Amino acid sequence: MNQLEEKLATALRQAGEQISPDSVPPLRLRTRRRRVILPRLPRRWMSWLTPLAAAAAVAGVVAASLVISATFHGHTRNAGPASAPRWNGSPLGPPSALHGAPPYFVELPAQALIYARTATVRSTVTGRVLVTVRPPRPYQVFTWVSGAADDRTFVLAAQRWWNTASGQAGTLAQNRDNNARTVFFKLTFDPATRTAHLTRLAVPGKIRATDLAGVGISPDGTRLALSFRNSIRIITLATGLTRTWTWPGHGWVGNFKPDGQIFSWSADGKTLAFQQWGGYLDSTVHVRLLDTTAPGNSLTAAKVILTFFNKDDVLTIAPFNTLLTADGSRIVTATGFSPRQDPRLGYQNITEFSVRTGKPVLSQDKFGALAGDQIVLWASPDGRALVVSDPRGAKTQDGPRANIFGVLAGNKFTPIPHGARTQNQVAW
Amino acid sequence: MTSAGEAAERGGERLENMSPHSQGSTAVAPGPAGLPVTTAEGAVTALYQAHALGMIRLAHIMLGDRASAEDVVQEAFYGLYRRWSALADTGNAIAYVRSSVLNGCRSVLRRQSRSRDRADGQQAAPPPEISAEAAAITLEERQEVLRAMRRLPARQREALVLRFYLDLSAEESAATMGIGPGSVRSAIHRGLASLGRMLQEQS
Repeated sequence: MNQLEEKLATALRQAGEQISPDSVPPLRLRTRRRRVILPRLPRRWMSWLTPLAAAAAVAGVVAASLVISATFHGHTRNAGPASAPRWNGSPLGPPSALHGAPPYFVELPAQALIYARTATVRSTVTGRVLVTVRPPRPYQVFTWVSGAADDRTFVLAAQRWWNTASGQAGTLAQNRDNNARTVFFKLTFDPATRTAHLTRLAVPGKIRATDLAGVGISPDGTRLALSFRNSIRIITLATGLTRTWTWPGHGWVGNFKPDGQIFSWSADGKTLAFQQWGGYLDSTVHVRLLDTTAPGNSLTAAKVILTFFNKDDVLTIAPFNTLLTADGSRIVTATGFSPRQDPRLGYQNITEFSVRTGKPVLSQDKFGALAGDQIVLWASPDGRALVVSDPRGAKTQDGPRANIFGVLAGNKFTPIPHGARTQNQVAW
Repeated sequence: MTSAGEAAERGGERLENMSPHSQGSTAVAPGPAGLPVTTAEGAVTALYQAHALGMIRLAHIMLGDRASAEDVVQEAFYGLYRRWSALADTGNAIAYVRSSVLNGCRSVLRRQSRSRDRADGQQAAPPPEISAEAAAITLEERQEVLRAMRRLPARQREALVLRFYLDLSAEESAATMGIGPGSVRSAIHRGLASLGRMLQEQS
């Protein structure tokens, strides 16, 4: 091997060693991952799914889910491997169902390979873009969005962004992107004038883009929860008062990748729901509720409401949002089930779990396991109306259909006009 | 030049060590605890646990982007899972995944290239800031090599990585890249020549 070859081999080996063995994310097979491959700021994926509180409850949970689902769909599962059932989600609902969700939502329409340069306020009923805002200079992209309960107040995270080129220039750009400071803006939408105003929020400290793993504004818009993977910080926006809870164990807090709505709050702003993952090769997921008024600074004090195991023959969680309803009674999330004997008989659906018992109480919008992804984007205070993203859009090149947004209520799905989207950065 | 263990860690390992055997529509492979796993999911998961690190490192070298590398590898193993029952020889599963990873990297690079073309017309990049890491000489040298390598045509780049990172033979690289061994040797030869020129110009 000559000098050049040795130099190349060394450079390649050292480049490879930048990936440490303990940072490999778990494999995710049960629900299909989104095909869109964006060069993210290094947000880690995580694996998926999960449920079950106790092994003894597994059979009951699964049986209950199956019974509920069979009831809704008017048929029972066909167990024959040669005749895998075709589930295509809940039937279509009336357009009036769109009024069951808040009238406006904010979307970060990501363009290929970059974060969103704009945020759009859109109508839930018509799907139309009402206002488009850009980050005030020098910030260039929005990275996170979260909505308060009034449907007029949203919080956006923004940062500077450098175009990622190839080679060394790309590496430097990515480093700058990752280390760029994240700042926060309050977006206030006025439906009467169809205008939106951005106000910079006073969030203390420098928050590197790569460290931030999710935001969640409280229902009254006064407090902002931030995820840092091994800790949660809640900032009182009027005073800058910050309280931090840390996770002392393995794994992390926050959901898949992370992406979407990491947090959800109870209506009184006291309880914060979040996911806590087991870590490398342990993809057990707990959904926990943190009493933000209680003393202490450890996330271990947050009560475990649901436990999802990553294995066959149990109802498992899809790796996206788990939303606490505002009345604090339910956790709503996309789930999946994969029978050990024949994965083709697997399915996914939207399941609501009782916070009190941890058991499923409602199951809707059933699809085959490999149909695509389902994501719960918003839940009404009692969980009776949801906004979900499910794979019933146009066919894609690689098989599964594209995702579209819609309102799911009473086991009926009403698409939001112009709601064809695959990304998850959206808030009601 | 490289021990078998090192090569295995880099994703160049042979599947014989995993020994999954075809059994009708299912396969058997050792699980994490040494127990046999009899489902496609179990077999693919076992393969992932053994090979994910090497594959992610390979994709990271090709792309220079950790998150995209993880996505590409995840897609490759997911593709293996979906096609497991159709695989004629599950003993070649890792070779299949390796090819999928390379294909995925090509797709990402193509998309990046297209997007860059569009973005370049919309916005000028801000002036570069030199990070502390970039100031380190050894790191700078390494990055120079990687930068030069990533400027090579895709075939030459892949041939060099398979040869000098995974220690694959020309025949093995050929199978992975879907070209002939002669083309692999040619790509390595030309790639090294171009690489040497570029590094000389930079110095």
